[in-house]
Amino acid sequence: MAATEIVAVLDAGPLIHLDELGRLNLLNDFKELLVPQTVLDEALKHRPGLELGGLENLEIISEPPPLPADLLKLADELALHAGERAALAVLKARGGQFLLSDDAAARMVARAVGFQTHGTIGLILRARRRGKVSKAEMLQLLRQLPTRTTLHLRKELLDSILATAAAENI
Amino acid sequence: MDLCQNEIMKTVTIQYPDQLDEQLRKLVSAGWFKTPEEGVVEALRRYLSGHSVELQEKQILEDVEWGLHGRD
Repeated sequence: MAATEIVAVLDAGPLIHLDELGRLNLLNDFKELLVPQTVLDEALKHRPGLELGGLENLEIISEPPPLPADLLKLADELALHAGERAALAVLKARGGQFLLSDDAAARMVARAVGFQTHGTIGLILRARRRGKVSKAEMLQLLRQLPTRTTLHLRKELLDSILATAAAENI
Repeated sequence: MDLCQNEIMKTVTIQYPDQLDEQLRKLVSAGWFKTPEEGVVEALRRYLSGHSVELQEKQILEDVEWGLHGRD
């Protein structure tokens, strides 16, 4: 299946967590993948060896535009970090569709102004739906979240997600 | 803004970087807060308002639905 026509902007969470799983390549399934330098700097703090060379569709945005007033007000109210603000600014300025983030507040702001937002778990499941990983690989990646990544997830919730994913005919 | 006058308050001792302290004290000097403590409480309140467990888990479940059944 060809990469979709979606332009996605990355926040640090999925970048860090997919790198921890050794599966950054799941991010190749977008038409364009935009990463503000601020986000990359944050990810590098957590993953100093982060290597993005395998991301063919990646564009690093060195100077994100200023955040528009509607987003700035929400970002202030929810105390978003610099990387999250930069990602939202790029999303707006470049006409992107998706914010890829694991941060609840950043996702809430993005959705409030009409963008779709998805995180690491959604990306893993999507990769199976789009035939990029086998079902066994998908389940293995989900099982590895608590031990190989810094993504915090309640055990009962993960068990429920695993059961749902295992029962799906995908 | 006054700290929550009628609420039972906790005391927490924290260490934070000089750079954050400098930014916080600028806000106090500019009149945004009466004290650095007020600024810390406001920052904590804002963070917690956007990071409840319920909100995070709701977003994850929506993500599962998209991951499994989305069209994009």
